[in-house]
Amino acid sequence: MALRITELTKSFGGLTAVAKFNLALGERDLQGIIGPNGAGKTTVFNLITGVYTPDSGQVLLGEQDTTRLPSDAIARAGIARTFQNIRLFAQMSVLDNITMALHAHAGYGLLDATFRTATFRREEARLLTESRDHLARFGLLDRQHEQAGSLPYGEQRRLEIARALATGPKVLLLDEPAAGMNPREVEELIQLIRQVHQDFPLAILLIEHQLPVVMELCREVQVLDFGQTIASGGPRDVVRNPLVIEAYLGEEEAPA
Amino acid sequence: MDTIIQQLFNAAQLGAVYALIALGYSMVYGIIRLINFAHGDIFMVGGFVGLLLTTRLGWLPFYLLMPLAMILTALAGVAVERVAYRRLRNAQRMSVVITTLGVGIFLENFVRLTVGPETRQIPARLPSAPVHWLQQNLGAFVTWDKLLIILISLALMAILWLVVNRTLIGTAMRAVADNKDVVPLMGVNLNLIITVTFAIGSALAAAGGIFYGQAYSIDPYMGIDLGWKAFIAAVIGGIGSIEGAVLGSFLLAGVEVITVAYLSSNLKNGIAFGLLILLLLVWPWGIMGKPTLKKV
Amino acid sequence: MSSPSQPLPTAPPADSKPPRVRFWMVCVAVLVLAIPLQLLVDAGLYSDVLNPYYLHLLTVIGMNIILVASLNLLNGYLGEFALGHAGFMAVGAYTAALLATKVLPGAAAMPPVIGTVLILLVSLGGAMIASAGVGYLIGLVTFKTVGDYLAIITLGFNMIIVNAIQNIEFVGGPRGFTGIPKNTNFVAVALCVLLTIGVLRNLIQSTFGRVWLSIRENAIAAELMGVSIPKAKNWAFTIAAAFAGLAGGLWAQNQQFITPRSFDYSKTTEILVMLYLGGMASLSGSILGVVAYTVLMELLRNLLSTFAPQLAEWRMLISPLILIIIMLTRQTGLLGNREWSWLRPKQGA
Repeated sequence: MALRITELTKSFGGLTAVAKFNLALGERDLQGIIGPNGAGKTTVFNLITGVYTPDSGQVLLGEQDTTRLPSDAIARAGIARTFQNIRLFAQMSVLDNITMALHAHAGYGLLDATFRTATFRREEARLLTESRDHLARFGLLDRQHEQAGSLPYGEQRRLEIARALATGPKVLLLDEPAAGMNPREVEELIQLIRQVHQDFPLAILLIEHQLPVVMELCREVQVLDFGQTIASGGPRDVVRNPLVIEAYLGEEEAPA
Repeated sequence: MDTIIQQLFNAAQLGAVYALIALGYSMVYGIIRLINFAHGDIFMVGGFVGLLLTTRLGWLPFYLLMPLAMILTALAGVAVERVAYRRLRNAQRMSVVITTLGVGIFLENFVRLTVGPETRQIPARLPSAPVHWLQQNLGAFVTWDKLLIILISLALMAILWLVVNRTLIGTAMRAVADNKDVVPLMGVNLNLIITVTFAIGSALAAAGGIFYGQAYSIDPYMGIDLGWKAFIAAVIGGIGSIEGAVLGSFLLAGVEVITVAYLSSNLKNGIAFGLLILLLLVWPWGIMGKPTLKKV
Repeated sequence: MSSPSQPLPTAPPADSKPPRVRFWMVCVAVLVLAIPLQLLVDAGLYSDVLNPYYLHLLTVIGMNIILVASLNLLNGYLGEFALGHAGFMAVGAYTAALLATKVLPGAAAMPPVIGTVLILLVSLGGAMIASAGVGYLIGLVTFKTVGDYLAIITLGFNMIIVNAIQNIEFVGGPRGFTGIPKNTNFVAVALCVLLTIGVLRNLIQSTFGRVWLSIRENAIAAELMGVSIPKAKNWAFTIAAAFAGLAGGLWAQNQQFITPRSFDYSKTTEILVMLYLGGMASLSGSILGVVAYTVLMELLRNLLSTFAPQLAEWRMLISPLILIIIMLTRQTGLLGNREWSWLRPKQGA
């Protein structure tokens, strides 16, 4: 099991944002979380990644309990994520966004860097090569010297996913990757996630508002509404669930 | 007993001056999230405007002189906002903060070069006789000017509280403090609110400057020291909160008076800043401040 | 973040030619100029042109470059707003002064030149270690503080350090520390400037620099990429403080007299003015900012005093005006975040 979450709960003030959330994400699994706006989907991600500390419940990454670890330790333990509102290092180059992500594997210390020792030069060259190879896999190599913030929207999304993968995670959390994309871009994104799922030895958990993405990709889906899981199962079964339809009809736009 | 009461009045007088300055820091921060590093120097300018008026227009009674000085200083404060800060309202926050630093140094040097670097005292315009009643009943030697400074300051704070909580402009100010982006959509003139805030803050600081010049002395650099103390007081109380600024000011003044009375006057700055750091480590948002939730 | 005109200097365009000027060439050039200059001035030759006053100005420029470049690490690269740099400088200055006067033997007791060099090395090393220690402690205490609150707390520490020194009679209290031997000269300062710029450049162009920048760009994303922000921040504070201490140690042994007041908030502000004049997140900008500010102040002094000697002081009114005008018109400073070629990394394969 890559990620096992039991009874995860968080409330803000009197409002329960997430109530008793459970999840069993297998190795190389691909699951999704859907639900109307404000259902607590992003809060689940924030609880998994330590942005918020859960009130109760447990998160197990493989054998390791990461429930109350600080965010950076959770990331180093092997959970990487992207953000609903893209969070790139906008003024850094595309290449540096990736090379930065390799900081935990730098292989040299402060003194090596200070005096540019042989170790530093060897390891730094390795980091650059790895970063460029990584960018090439995502078709971003010719953009390497551009500022990340100046990329078109779709490429920023792609770079954010590439950056998350550069840390070498066991679990990848994607927070509404298709948000703000047109149908053609969504189609490319589905291809990209499928490719990532095939090429990298990891499990993916996906939050998405656009149902086609979830229908195409996910093996299993949970539906959140007001912090509660109201349905779960295969994507095709879930969308026929009357509770789910009702939750979505409460919104202005019904799912496709 | 008598010395304790005297020390209490000393602390109250110092606290009142701190509060008059601290309110300006806190109000401006509350409304545009800006640490106005030049505010201490506006306080200093207020003191010198008071000095100028008392020496040049000596025939003016105090109850007209003080409002006049407050109005003139308010104009200076508003002018600074208009010339130096307004254009940077949507720029990087640090640019504005640095601009306020520049304005502060400018004001200090301007006063030093035009008036002179000497320490001066504003000629006493408040009665300095001891308060009879306190002397007879409690044996405490407290002069009328000290008592008046405390009472007038408290009255000004009460007026401010009423303005903020009971008037239309005050409601608009609180609305801006709550959410700057929505308010213009609701037909409130943001520039007007900010101008009013700077005017009120500068006028209060001027009152503080005059009181300080009456009770102690003024010099072109007093804004740095006093301004910082008042700023600490605002932060301790929870910056952005009016009640917090007043509370923090009296607390800080109390600690300082105790330090000077029982330890050493050389230690008071160190202890003031030590207190700030300790409090911020325990209460990162000050005593009355509101914590913010990390948004991801 | 406002939009700069081009990407950060860590990534030169792939098609650019390899830069011709390298860092070592600059080092050689500086030393080739500095050593004869120092010797000629010391010997009193050509005193019309090689005025000792000019050499003194160059020395002051050098010490200020160390201060501004190290503050740039915090305010430019890490993106924090630290307001206590003069405090670190004070720790370095007093440590070096103590070492040079009360701990180490006098230069007279040792062979000439070598003795002075040894004393200088030990006192500057001590100054850096002491300041780094203080910087580390402040970084430790402020581990969760960001933004306005970090500015307040660092300023608070600046004030506490100055206040503490004022209360230590052993180092002269508020009257200051006198009788420090003049162990530095322009050549020593020039060497320290080269060391500072070289080390900072190397660090900024390593994984440490990328981590600092990422914190400035998006602290939450950096944290969720596994960056321990307290640790990264603490390194930056320790390193910046160490170099501020180095400048302080040089300062003490150049001025031969220091008072606590010379390291208060006004000094911190002066460092900030030069930093923002030159431009954030650019070492070239730090160098240019210091030179431009010092030259401008000197020109103003000369210009104003030709009208009347007392007018020279009015330049103190012009320096804050410059700062305000820069902020209103060109927030990126003179250089923005561009770097001169010799401070950029070598073209990667």
